[in-house]
Amino acid sequence: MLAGAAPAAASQVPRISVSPIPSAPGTATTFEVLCGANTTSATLFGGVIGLSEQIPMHHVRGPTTGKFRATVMLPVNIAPGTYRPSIDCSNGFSGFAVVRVSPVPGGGALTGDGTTSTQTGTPLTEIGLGAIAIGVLGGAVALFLRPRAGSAR
Amino acid sequence: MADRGARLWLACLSAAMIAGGAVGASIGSHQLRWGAPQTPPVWASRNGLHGKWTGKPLARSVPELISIPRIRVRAKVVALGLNPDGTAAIPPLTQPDLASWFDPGPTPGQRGTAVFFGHVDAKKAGPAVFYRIGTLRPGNLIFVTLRDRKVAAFRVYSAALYRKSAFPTATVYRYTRWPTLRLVTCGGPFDRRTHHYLGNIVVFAKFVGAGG
Repeated sequence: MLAGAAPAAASQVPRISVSPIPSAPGTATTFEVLCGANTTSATLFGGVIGLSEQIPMHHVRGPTTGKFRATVMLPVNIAPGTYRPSIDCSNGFSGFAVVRVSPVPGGGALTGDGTTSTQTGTPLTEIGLGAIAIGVLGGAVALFLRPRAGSAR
Repeated sequence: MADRGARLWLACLSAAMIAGGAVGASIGSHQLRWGAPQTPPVWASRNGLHGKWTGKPLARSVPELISIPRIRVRAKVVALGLNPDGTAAIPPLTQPDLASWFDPGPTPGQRGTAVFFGHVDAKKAGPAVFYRIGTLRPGNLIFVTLRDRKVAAFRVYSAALYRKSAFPTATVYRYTRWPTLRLVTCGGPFDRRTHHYLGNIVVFAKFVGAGG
């Protein structure tokens, strides 16, 4: 994501990117700045995110000139929200990085009411009750069924 | 004589059915109807997020459907944030078939960790959407359909049970350069006094590609 809404003139605002978006408390967050030519150093001002006031950024070698990077660990107790630490280049360019810190839930999740760990009664219960009912019915029939007239006594 | 024999036979059979039925009903009424949710074995948690990932992460797109073929889960996903007390919001127990995605965090396929919650059980339904996630093992696949119609595939690399009192928040929500995913539900012993499970099962998975 590009940031850099600095109060300075547009030509003096470097391209600044932050990753990840959003960041989370206690995690690594990387700042990159493209200062352009004639730059020997760049500084991240980390005070607003609870870090050192001045964090020197490392020069990134490559085809792009004047590219600097710094990876910092956000404090574990940083409050969720949006922060705008500034970055200064040695050639006079200056801008703001936009760091969005997402909230992280505290503790575990309450994801169940214990039904499967507490509720008893398998289909065997119903089969058993059915068998009892049939047995009672059969017993009643056996007890009260009168022998047919004319049968041997 | 034949009638008397038949009556005797019927009486014996009825007595046997009553006795057998009583034994069966007694056993059945003492057994758990569904069985407590399974928890992952220790070995399943020993795999970490190793190797070099060279894939391309996806653009942010909200998840709409989660599908886990191994345990026959296909559930709608709602986006939820935090409760006022700072805990993760989860779907109501009256909607036990719904999963939720923690929307302040990355979407599935973005760099970082996309976290999903689901109930393990609920009164009317019995087993709920994530009842069987404790049976997932490294290698099993999880698919998430995103709003932009892409389907992101993830492969499980670890599964573990944690005590809620020592929930590894940093491990679960930490930023990963890989796009990763977590499934979270309840598990472990159930405390009848507080009416809560003492643990959470967490399944860890990493992005392996997208289609659609």
